[in-house]
Amino acid sequence: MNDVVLILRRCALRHWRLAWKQQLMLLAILALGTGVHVAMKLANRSALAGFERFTQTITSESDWTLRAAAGPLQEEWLREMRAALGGLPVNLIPAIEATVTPPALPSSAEVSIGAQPTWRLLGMDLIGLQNLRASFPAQTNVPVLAERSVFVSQGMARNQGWKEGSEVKVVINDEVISLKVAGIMPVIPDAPAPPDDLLLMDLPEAQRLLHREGEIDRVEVLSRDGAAFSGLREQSAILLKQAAKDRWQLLGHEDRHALAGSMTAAFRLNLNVLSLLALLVGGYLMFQALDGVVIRRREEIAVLRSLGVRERSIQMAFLAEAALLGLVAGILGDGLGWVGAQAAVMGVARTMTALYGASSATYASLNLDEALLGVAICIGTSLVAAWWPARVAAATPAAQILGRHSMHSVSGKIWRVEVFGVMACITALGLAELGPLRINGMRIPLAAYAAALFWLMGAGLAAGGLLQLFRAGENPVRRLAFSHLRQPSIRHRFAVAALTSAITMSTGMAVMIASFDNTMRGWIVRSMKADIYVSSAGAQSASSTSLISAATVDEIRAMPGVQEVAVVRHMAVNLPDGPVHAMGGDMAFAQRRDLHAWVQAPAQDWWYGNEPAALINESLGERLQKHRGDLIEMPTPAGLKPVRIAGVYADYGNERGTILLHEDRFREWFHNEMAWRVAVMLKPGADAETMRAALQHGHPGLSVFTQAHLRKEALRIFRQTFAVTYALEAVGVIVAVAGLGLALASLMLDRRKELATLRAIGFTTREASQACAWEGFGLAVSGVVAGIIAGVWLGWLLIERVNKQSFGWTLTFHFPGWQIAAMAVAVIGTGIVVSAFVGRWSSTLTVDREE
Amino acid sequence: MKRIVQTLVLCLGTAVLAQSPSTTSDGFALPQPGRVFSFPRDHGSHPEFRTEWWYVTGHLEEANGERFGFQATFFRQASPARQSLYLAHATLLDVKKKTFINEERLNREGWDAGASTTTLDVHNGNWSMNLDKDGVIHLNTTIRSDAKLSLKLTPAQPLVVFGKDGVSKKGTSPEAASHYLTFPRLDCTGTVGEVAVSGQAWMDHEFSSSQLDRNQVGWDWASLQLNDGRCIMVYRMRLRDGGNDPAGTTLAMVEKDGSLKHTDAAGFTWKPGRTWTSPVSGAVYPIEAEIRTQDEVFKLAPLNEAQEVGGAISGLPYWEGACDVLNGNGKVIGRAFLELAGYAGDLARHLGGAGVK
Amino acid sequence: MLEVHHVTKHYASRPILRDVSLALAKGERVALLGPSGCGKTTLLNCIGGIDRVDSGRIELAGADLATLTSDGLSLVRRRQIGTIFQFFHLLPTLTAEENIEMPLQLTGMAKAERLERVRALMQRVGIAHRSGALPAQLSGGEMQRVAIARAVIHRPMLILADEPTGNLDSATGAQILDLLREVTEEEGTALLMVTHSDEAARACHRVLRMLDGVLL
Repeated sequence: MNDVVLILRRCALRHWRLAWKQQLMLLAILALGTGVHVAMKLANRSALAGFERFTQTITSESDWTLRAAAGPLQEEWLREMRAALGGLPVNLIPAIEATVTPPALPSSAEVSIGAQPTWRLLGMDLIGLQNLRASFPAQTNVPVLAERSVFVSQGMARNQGWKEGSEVKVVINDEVISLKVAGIMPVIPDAPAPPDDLLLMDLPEAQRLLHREGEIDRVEVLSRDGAAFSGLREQSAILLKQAAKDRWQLLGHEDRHALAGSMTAAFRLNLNVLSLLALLVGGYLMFQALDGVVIRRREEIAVLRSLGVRERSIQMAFLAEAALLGLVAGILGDGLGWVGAQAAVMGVARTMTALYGASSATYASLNLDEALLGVAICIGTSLVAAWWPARVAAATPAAQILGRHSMHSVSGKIWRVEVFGVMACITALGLAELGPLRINGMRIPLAAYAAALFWLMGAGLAAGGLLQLFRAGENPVRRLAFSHLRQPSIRHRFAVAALTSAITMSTGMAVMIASFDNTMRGWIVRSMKADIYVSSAGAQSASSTSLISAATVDEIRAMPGVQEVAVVRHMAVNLPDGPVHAMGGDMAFAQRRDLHAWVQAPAQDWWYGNEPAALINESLGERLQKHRGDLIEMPTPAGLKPVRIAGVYADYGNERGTILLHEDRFREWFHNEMAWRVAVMLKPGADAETMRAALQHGHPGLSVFTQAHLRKEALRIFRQTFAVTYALEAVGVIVAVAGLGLALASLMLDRRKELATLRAIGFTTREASQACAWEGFGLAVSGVVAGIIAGVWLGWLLIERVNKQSFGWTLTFHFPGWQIAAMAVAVIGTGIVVSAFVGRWSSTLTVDREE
Repeated sequence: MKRIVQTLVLCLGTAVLAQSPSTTSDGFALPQPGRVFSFPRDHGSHPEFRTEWWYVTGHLEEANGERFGFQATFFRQASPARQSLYLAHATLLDVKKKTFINEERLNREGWDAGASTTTLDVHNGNWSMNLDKDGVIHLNTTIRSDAKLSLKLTPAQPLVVFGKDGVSKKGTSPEAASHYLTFPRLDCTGTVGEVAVSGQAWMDHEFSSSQLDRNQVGWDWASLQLNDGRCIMVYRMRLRDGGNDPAGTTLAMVEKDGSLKHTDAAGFTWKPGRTWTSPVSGAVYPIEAEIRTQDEVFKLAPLNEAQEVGGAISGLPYWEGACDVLNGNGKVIGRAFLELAGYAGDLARHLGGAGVK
Repeated sequence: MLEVHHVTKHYASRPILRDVSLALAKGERVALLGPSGCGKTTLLNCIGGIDRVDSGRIELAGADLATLTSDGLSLVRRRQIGTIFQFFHLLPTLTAEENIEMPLQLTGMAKAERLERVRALMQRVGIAHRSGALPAQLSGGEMQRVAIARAVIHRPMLILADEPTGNLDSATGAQILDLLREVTEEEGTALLMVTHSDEAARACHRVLRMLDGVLL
């Protein structure tokens, strides 16, 4: 142990001081790996938090949330809830919520979906809320509850330039309504700041504006144990469940997290996969960097050995140094990750808003657990990456021997690395056959993720085998270069492995995205056949609650030029395993227009049967493991109704799942006359654009799209989902190419004597550089070729397993040849440039060091 | 009694000066002399009046003699739009531990607060008070999760109606008046937490549409239960200039047999004693008082200094404290509650004219 | 053929070579003796164009090395010089045959002729049976034979040898010296050999002694 400390103090730390630039670089590399991982995690969490925060700011986190299984809760039920609780000091906080949006500026052009921000209108009892001291500080006067009064956060007031008394126009359902800012919500110390997308109203007023008197969406249940009461949370759960009689459900915060989680699964899948890549590539980078350290210090190690330091001590000292590096870099990485997350959050939030309408651009804060985890990951990866270099260091011969031997790279023959690689790949193939893990209605394709990881590692390791295939002709430079590839060192293998992993991942993602894109386009063409689509202007995202009134639908139907109108109605209902969209549509219309791509086609006229029947989308079928002919217990305001599955259709519009009922049945069960979407078919000769403009002009509270525009928008939003992906993939590949450069630099340092020999036998500087470049070329080509081959399978895995198991979407495999060719050329080209640069550098280095 | 009319917002600038003697300018009913009360109906709510409260204070003892003081108050305050807000206070004084805890609560009329119009049945959140068919009042309150009171109140003396002809005057204006019904002595049994207690309580039920005259800033009020079986209700409305409003100053003596005798401002004196400064509101309360009639002296001595109630939501705290009653010789001759309102800022400024007891 | 005129060389202001002059004729073998650190290897590096002199002049076949660029020097080494090291310094990833072939490949000789010459030379130095072996698989003597073959394969005018027997046992060393003498005589190649060994010195026509950077 003394030895270890001595080595660390006298040698390692001194190197840190003397070669601080290199050390800094190394730290930066390590920190980068950790940073990417941390950033992904934070961005992800912060995006998720957007779902939760807005209620928490008002109430602090509640013990339970009560929701109806289908439709709204009735305000009358609150009395029963209070009665059920008896004398328990428990607060019940009813809330109603809706999405609203500022009206579009008067302009004749069609706007983009999501261009308008989506705000949340939250109606809560502002009188009753004052009994919770978390909400308003004592000195705040009770708000004046005038009509159309709304309270906003400081952030929102600042962003929108609102002051107390400002008039604010919003679209609520299909009406443009003017509200008045009655106050700015104060920031309360120790409570989360109110989100920037929140409009808070008094409950009765919100109910009135939404035309939902007597209805509420949820009740937050809050209690705090004290001297006279303990176990209030559990007691209230029991009492409230007993009184529920299927009318309401109790959700704990785990359930709420799971709910938010399931809503964003697709997006998080993306981020998960990417942070996996960051970690893997980061590990390779660390290995290469530490390996370089060992080489640079070889002489020093040799001297230590001569002085009698034991191998074990040297190994320990290296591992300790790696851990120390990991610690410092981990802390830096946390900082870097935090900074990165702030940027990522903006991007992520935009995407989340478009997809789920959920996020306010929240601030991604780092908590202690995550910071520690980041550091631990960094230290762990450093240790794993340092393991081999530390062994090499320990195996360095003493100084007197060092001088005698031409010390060339330790060859990788010790392990038959390719064998491990192939074994890992075979494991991956096996894992790919396993099903998803099912927890609380969430499906986690754990085995498929594991398969992806094994495949990535396996492909990387096996890719070293490709190096054997390089053959040189007459050219002495290439002969020399390729001779190195045919006897690859661990460094060669790792450089190839890193590159292979990055390319595999990029190719896999590219294949998945291209397949998505292709499938989506087909689906859009098939399912979007009406001439004009109408929704509330508030419907800026999939989770919007804004609807169109029956009167407005009638007005549309009566317009000249309109041949047919199909209405889709919508209600969020909660199956035992999570939320699902209940929809009602005109089935005759759908059938006539052939809107559905069938996974399992229904019989003709299925809805005329005696028992209620419904179509479900593929996601739901996958989630529930149900097929045509099975029964679903459908929650409705009148209780559970059995519904026979008549058919299963492909649907890429949502991953929550949809139960599609015939319109009449929907209205009967849900008593809802509001329309969610209206599709308009025009008479022959009617001009869609003219109609659109007319409709829009007459109804500023509506969003009106022509078919062409909606199709374009659907694709745009879809593609936006993957915008972050591309950026991160690029980072992965760049890092891998940088790793290639690092690996070559280590190789060249290690080969200084050989370079001297080359010069002695007449190699010019240029030829020596070229040899290095060819070596780099070989590595790059191997990595790219292996990566593309492996990436095709990874793409298959992502499409057929991960995606299928996560959301149940059937995608048609599509290989984006040109895109991948371009990537291959770019990577190989960059690899050559980097290698040539290293070669050039190495040739200048040789002579100085020789004497 | 009490009143803190938490008028919150709602009744800014209401009131006062209506021309008609039967309703206020915005249509609320005014107390009418000679009104005939019927029960249990008149124990219930009177939404035609702007303001109403049910107010219980009492002294409790454990079997081992440990003493508690408690208060439970349900207020109703209507807006001109006839939307009622329900404010409520619950307190508990543990004399031995010298701890005083209280909770203020505000809810709008509806699922979580309300009062029956047929009998005594009021609730606010999980607090409730109701009259059963045997004439027993059931009171249940909590103070956050820190205390739980569950009491049965049985009248030990008959109900009295204060004031002249059933109307209790609070000032010179014809509107400053209330209907004021009181059980001056109720036997209590029940539990504080898990501990069995018994004792005696006082309950006011008062409804009006405007009680505070324009130049009144607050009031001092007390309810005394003497060991000899008599009870006293006494109040003085304080004017902006520091004096008492003679039109709003009364002492009412309830004899053991239930007979009632009112004494006007000229017939007694109220002399404030030592003060206590609230660390919370900064208000300075004269927490001792000496009430002197022609032939008797009653000194009110608080069981605890800190007995300030409410204000967390309303911003209008007051002092409502359990006291012993001492005679001129310093001998304990009964128990009392003393209410001191309008000391934490100018009540009239907040209320613009609403009532009190 | 090789002329060294008044060469001086410093490393970090420490004089390594002081006014060194010498000349080698075609086919002449010269041994350079001296203690460690006397500057022998530096002199060899300067002659081989791997290192540059501070002052003085080195002429090889009439060309002043100082006037040549780095690439020019590489061409000189490629065509005119063969180098043998104490630690052999074979290219570890190339076989024995490929190592020997490398200088010829650099000069761009046609493959058939190249192979013929390599094989003949391997036969000559006695390692034909090891042609496919990697350096790591060869013994010290075999490695040095390969190194000698690589040094002479392109028929240089001058061979620079730095302790060629220093890392070999005496019997093998003697064989290597014989081989070196025979090969240089057959090819008419001059040899400048740094050595500690008197035996090695005896294989040469002439012996120069060096001390503290000065040629005695």
